Amino acid sequence: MRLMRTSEITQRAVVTMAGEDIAQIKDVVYAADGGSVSGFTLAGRGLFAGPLKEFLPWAGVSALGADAVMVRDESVLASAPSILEGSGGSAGSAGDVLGSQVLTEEGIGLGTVHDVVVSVDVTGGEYCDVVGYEVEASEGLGTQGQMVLIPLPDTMAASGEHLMVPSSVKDFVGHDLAGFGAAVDRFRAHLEDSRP
Amino acid sequence: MDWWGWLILVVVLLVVLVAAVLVIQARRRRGGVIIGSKSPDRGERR
Amino acid sequence: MMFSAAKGHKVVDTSSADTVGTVSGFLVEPSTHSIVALRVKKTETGEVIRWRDITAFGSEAVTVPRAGVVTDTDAELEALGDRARELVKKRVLTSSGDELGTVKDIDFDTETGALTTFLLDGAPDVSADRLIGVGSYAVVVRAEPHGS
Repeated sequence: MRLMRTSEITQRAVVTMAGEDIAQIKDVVYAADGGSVSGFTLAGRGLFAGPLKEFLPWAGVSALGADAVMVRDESVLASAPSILEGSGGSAGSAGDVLGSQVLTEEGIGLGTVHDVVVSVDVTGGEYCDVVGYEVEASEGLGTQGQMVLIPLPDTMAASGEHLMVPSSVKDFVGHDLAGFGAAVDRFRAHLEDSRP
Repeated sequence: MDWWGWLILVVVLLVVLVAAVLVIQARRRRGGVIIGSKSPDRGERR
Repeated sequence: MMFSAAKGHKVVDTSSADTVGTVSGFLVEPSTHSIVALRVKKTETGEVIRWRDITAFGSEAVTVPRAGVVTDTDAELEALGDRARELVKKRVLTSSGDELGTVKDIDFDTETGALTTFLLDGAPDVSADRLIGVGSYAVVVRAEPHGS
């Protein structure tokens, strides 16, 4: 199990086992309910390349490593699901979580999303889940302006503009990725315990 | 303007055009983190 | 022998004692991690010699039974040589997506043509039986199992 920032994943080369870089990662796409990563939109390689029509479903990923996303071959790429076509997919447009505000259920703003933290199974075959956001904190967190890590529950409500989190998240805020995995586990255990 | 004035103009325009395309394509390749509304099919493995 | 030492070897026709070319590169089949053919230059006919057609790969020269073993590339060899080109200096990626380094040199068995070891720049050697693929972007090798 390995924690990564999505900023490290975007623009990373998609390489086949035959050693060809067939694309690079454009967007990381995840489901609002559950936070699991469903796949990636792609861009071409090279100075003049733009976005590609193809989509890389999570099931097609053989491994998500420090330097490349490995796939068996080009056949794992699929055509982009229709849910993405409307949203445009480029940074800042509707559906992109980066720059969105994080709100507690009480309507308190905790900050804007600067990066997203995912938990990856090392071989890539099992799961890739969104487990936290790195936010530029607002006064709601008491550490105005700093970058902090907020753990996320298993289920959450999200739209492109506002991301809802339980208020108790404030007690589990982290400051570096190293200890953050434990903070996520503790937070989720806490949510389990406080369930009526 | 004599002929080499036109030549310089064309070269400058070409350079600006290429630079513009490079910048535009780089922006279009940049990605973010998107919420897709459907849950993925968890059980699927190739 | 190392690729660096083997490159530049003269290719000598034993029947005439003539030099028919110089070794300029190697075409490798990833699944068997073996040299399938030598790329040769300064020849009169053709640009490759299949490994099975050579008599011996010695420390000073490669011997062949006749000049006719130098042939043009066919579709099979084209597929191996086209994107792969030069193995040396290519980045090495594991099947887990981690970069190990770049290939500094490659050790091979002169009897069988099988690659034995990849020597990396600034990283430990990689046994050639871990080879999975050779492409224009990288040499892909099987990842080592994670310790503890």
